[in-house]
Amino acid sequence: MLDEFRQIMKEHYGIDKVEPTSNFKTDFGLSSFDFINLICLIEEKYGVELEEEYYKELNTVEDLIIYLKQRVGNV
Amino acid sequence: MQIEEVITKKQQKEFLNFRKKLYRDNAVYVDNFLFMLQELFARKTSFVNDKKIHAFQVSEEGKTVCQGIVVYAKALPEYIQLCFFESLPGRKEAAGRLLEKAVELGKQYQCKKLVIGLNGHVNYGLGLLCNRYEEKNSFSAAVNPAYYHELLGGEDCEKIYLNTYRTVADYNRLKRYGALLGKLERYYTYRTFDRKAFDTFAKIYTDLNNEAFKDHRYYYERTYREDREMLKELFLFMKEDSLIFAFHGEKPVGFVMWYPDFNELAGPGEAFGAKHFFKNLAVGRRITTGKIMEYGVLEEYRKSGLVIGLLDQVFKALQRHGIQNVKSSWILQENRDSDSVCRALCDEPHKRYVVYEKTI
Repeated sequence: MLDEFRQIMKEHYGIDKVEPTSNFKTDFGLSSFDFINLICLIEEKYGVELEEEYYKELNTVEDLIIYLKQRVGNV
Repeated sequence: MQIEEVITKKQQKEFLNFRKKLYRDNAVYVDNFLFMLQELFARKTSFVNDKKIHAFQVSEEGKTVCQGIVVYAKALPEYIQLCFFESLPGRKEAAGRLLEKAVELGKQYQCKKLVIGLNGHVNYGLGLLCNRYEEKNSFSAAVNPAYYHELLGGEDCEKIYLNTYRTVADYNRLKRYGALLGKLERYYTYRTFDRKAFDTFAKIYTDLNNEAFKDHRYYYERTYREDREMLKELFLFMKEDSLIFAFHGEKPVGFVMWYPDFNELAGPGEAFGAKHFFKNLAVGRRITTGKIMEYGVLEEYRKSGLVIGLLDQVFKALQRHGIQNVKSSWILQENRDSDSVCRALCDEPHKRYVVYEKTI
């Protein structure tokens, strides 16, 4: 899942260096709308809908992957 | 030096003439408030409802040197407002007399603070310009000389800053939100204002404003009548696609208002009016800049990124109208949500404004 995530970040945001601890805001410089767009990309890729009330808890790549695994299982 | 309340028709005329003379030769100034002030004095505008309004002018040797309107809005009881301030340069003492008068009235109405730069309600204007004095003001934007800050903004003032933004209306900026826009399309529909159902859409606008902005600084509830009046005036010039609503099912959940910068049609020192609009329409003159006036989304829908969907609708409308540039209206610097929207879509902050607050 991390590799797939790296691919999304490179393809859509031109970001090469993606670590589990990378923070969407401070490391990637994503605006809140970039972040929501990223969520939408992930939803499209995995065919799930992430719940808006959890957005604020998803600060790092790891947070997102853990949450995503809970929703779709290990991919 | 004397300060007097503007009551008679003669005094009202002097009051209006003072601002005309002050800006007459200013190549970058278009007056967007003259007609409103005329209506205010004639009490023909709903601006006067539920407000105590006292216009003052300070004169020396029979000539006005400084003026302003002190407003107490019952729905904003904490503040006494000094609105529509104008002055000749170097008249600190005269401005001081006006400020004293505003404070005196504020105490009378049991207000806690004096606010300078709010024109009765945020929908009529907020902020004193504090940079880029050499650039023409966009439609409905505040404009004033730099020296007003020496006259009004003492060290005992709290300063609240506002920014506007500008950019080229490049649709590629929105393409990066393609996945978000795709999702929004599945959940929301967009409808433009329908003049045939004027009152229905005007009420939707008022309700959304009152709900979306209820916690914003200085905002207080608008009435259907006030907004109907304002929209009637704006729709003399605006097209229906200048006011766009987002619906979730049949529920209105957000809106955006934009319009072409009509001030491009007026000359230096003029008050923009219907004559400019129709004259230029006749010769097919194109306006090059669109101004996004306001957008609002109900709180429970904000996390969806719906504002990007609304702005996508605006950018499409700008393309249809052949408008190349876009500016935003003022955004309170403390409003991080709106500030981040503008930073996402625009190159840079453009103009900066300040509101002064004083404890009384």
